[in-house]
Amino acid sequence: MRRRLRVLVTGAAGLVGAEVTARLAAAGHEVTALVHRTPVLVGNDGTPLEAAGVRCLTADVTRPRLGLSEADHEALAGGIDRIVHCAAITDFGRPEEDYQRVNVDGTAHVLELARAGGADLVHVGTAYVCGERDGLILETELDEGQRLANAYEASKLRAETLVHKARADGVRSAVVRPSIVVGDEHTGVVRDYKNIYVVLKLTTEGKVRSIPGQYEARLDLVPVDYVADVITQVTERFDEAAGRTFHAVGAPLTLRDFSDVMAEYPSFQVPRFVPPTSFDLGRLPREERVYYERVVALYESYFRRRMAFDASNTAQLVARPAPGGGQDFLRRLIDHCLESGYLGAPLPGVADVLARLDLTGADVSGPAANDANGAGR
Amino acid sequence: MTSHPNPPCPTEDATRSTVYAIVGAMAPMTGVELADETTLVADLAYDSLRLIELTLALEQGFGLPELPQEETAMVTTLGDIVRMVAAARRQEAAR
Ligand SMILES: NC(=O)c1ccc[n+]([C@@H]2O[C@H](COP(=O)([O-])OP(=O)(O)OC[C@H]3O[C@@H](n4cnc5c(N)ncnc54)[C@H](OP(=O)(O)O)[C@@H]3O)[C@@H](O)[C@H]2O)c1
Repeated sequence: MRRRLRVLVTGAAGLVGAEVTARLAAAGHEVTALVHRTPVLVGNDGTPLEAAGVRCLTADVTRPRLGLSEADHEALAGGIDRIVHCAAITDFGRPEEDYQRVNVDGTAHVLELARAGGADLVHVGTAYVCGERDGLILETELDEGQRLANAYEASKLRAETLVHKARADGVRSAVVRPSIVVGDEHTGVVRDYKNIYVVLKLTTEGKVRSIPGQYEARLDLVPVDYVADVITQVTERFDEAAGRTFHAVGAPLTLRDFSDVMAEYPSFQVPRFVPPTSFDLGRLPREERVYYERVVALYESYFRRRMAFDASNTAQLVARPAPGGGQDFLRRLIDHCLESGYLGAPLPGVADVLARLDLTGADVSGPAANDANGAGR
Repeated sequence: MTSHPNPPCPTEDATRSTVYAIVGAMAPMTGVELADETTLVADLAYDSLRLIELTLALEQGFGLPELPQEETAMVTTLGDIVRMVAAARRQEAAR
């Protein structure tokens, strides 16, 4: 075994953080798992992590000293060799200041801890800091003046920029940038159904039937176990990784691939991707418009992008081959969703539930409830 | 929306039973006994998408305008929803 490291993992209860914690502990390292609201660590396959050598610490990255007392902060700083920074707000559509506080200020506070303790930092960024750039995206590129699609991407760019700047005053760091994190490469299993899964659900259930986008657009899906392997290797082999960035990405799938694979499942509806210029929100039925506005619109930019991620640094450092699979991998992900019941067994819709409760009339809420199709609102 | 007489100011108790009915009927997990402390995610298995649908159901069921995201994001228990909906109904009634 390599030297036993003392590692702090932030966001350790998260999808990626829990898998990284499990790997580091299994390799014999001493892990301090920084947790926030959720104090329990559950692996991607749903089993609780009960590894020896993992100590949980509740803290809040938005607060100075992570909300710890001066003495506790000092003790923590003095007792770690490396920090893996996974904590972030990863869902879309939150108020801008949430991303600033957690993703940017949180990273600044983690950098302070690294500086105080002389610890090395493995920062988990996102491949989508590339924003709406087209073409081949290199690991060496960061701020190329690109347009960013949302406050999440913008905050992750600012955070990664802070990490780079801190190198000047001595904080050694490496950056790992996953693309869209999805289920296990071989089993398709995933613990949390978020981002692309939500769009899959809305479309396959026919709740969203058209999406502005281009069939040639590409989505890069990467298995969570591969992402955790890359982060773990970068952490263990930090001396080789220091100062560099590693794309943790999979094989890109076009929206045509998505459409073709979805059509193989008899129970699925298949969405149409329509040219953004001819998409008319006003023509959608009310329910579909609401799903569009509150969910799909958050991801719209991703249905137009055609970038590809170069992963030379990762290929050089990490022993495990980059995930491939394309359409087969997508089938595996969908099959798991069907087995787990996430897809294929839709819950009753809003209109059905309200009708069953007899709440579509005026009895509860006065005359406004008669406005059933939302006209005039 | 403005031409009808104002309904009497709705109270939390009047709102509670309807909120319970909607939250229970929309819940992915059935057969759970509901109380103000019941949590949407841990006890009733709501995920992010079903929470959006629940928001829609509450808006339509109570005839409310769109509930702001800052408020819906703060909700974790059934009691939180009762308070949020009651406040929104009072606001509507005051208009
Ligand atoms: N998932 C993806 O598709 C994806 C893609 C590219 C990059 N990434 C990056 O990978 C990293 C991990 O992502 P993930 O999917 O594992 O995210 P996740 O499942 O949402 O986990 C994020 C973790 O951060 C914690 N956290 C949030 N606010 C915090 C605070 N104020 N103080 C301390 N901890 C806090 C959360 O804890 P609580 O829930 O208890 O608050 C949660 O455990 C993130 O940096 C993300 O940007 C993710």
